[in-house]
Amino acid sequence: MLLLAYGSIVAAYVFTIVEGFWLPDVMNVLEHAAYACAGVLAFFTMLAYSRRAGRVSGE
Amino acid sequence: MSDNLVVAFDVISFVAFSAALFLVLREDFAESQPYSGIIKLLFGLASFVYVFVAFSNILEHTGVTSALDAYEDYLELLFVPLVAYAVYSMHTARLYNSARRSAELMKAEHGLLTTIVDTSPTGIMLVTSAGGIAFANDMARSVLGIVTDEDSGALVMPEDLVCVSTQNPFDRPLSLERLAQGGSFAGSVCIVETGSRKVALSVSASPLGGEGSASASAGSVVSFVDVSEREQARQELLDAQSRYSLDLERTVDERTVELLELNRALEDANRAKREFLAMVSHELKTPLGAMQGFTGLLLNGDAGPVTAEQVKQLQMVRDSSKELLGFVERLLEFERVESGHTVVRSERVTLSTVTDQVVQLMVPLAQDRGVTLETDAPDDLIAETDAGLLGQIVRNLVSNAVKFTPRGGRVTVRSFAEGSIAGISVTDTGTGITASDLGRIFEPFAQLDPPSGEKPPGTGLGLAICRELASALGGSIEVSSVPGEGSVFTVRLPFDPAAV
Repeated sequence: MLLLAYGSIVAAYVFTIVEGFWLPDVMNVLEHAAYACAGVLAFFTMLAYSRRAGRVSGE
Repeated sequence: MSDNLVVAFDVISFVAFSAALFLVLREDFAESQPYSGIIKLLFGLASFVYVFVAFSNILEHTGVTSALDAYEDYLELLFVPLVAYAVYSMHTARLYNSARRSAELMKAEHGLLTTIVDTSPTGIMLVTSAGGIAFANDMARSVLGIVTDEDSGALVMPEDLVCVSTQNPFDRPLSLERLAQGGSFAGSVCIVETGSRKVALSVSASPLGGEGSASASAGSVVSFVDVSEREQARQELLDAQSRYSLDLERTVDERTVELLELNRALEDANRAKREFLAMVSHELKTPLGAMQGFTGLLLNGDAGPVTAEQVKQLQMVRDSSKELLGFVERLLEFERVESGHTVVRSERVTLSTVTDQVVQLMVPLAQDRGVTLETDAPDDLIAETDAGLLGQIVRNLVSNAVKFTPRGGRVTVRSFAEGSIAGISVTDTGTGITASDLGRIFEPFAQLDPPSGEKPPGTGLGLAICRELASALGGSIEVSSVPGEGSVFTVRLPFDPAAV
């Protein structure tokens, strides 16, 4: 999941670059959407880690 | 429209990364010790980067301010290295912890093995290829007196320690020079003497690194067990066996001497008995012969007329003296046979001739007792033996058979040859002999009750004489009987068909 979050960041970079050449509005929206997606994935990544760490320490 | 969408995404991004930052700050990353602090910092900074970026975007796209936009790019540059280094640190922490756990496990196992080896009742020692002692457990130190040298700190055995093998006095199982070369042996028992102590050890050794180790001088792993008690018990057993053998030999010698003396005494007694019998028989024979002679003269009237009553009484005297004379002659015959004075004259004898002569002699007695007497002897059966002695045997057997067969019975005399044995058998249909009597009928003076219930006829020496005569002829006599049905007496003699 961390990898997916990083991938979303990379996608946002790509959209940022493409934004300058083609469909600027669309790419801009996609760029910010990608950042949002990355944030959500990062949150769930940390949530999953916390739960796993809690399960291990509870054992 | 798109601006609102962008703002919405920025808000979502802001909230999500803020929440992620919160979770990062709350997490202690315990699994990644000792790098948990730096990992937390890196992930926190990475999360903060995009919290800031999202916040900046919100301010920009809502038209509040674009002042933070200039710093966005700089901070975004930090994201990748921050995350990369955090991941790298987590991986490093994982490797570190794995190695640490392995080291702890190995330490615990090493501790356990060391405890087991140290407390083992088996002495264990490691000898290096240089001949030094790398390790010795408590038992080895105690038994062999191994101590730590104060100067060098190395383990050393007492210089006066000698370990001599019980199998080979030139073998030294605990020789460090030999063990340094990687010796391999098992169960070699040796006596260890160090100072005043003396113990028996069963020593085993194998090269360090196992059998087939490539190194020619790899050192050895030595183990030994104290078998002093076992060796002492073994020695005591050997001593006891030796003492027992000596005692047994002495006892046998003593008993042999006793038996020889007893044998001599018995021979003396037997000889005295035979001499007495012979003397008494000879002394009785003369007056009995005179009695018979003179009663005969009186009965013939040579001394003058005698009355009927006198005749009757003289006949009684003559009959009694005749019976007593017959008994004395049997005694003399038995004494002669038993003492081995029988003379055997071997000649070619037709067995049917012997049987026929005996039957002819016994016919009157058989007719008188109402017993049928018959023969079954091939005419061509010839044996090399003494006809007179053989005839005497057969005569005794036929006489007994006729006496012990009731009126109307049958006695059959048969001669035969079976391989290297020839013989004559006498079969009767008499009362038979019980199993308990079978064992004693060949003994001197043994007598069985006749079927008629009258006094047993004869002297009880007939079968004893038959046995001795059969033995003198090189043969044997045997009997089989069924009580109530009859008996079979068989005399067997050596027979060589080619010789006759």
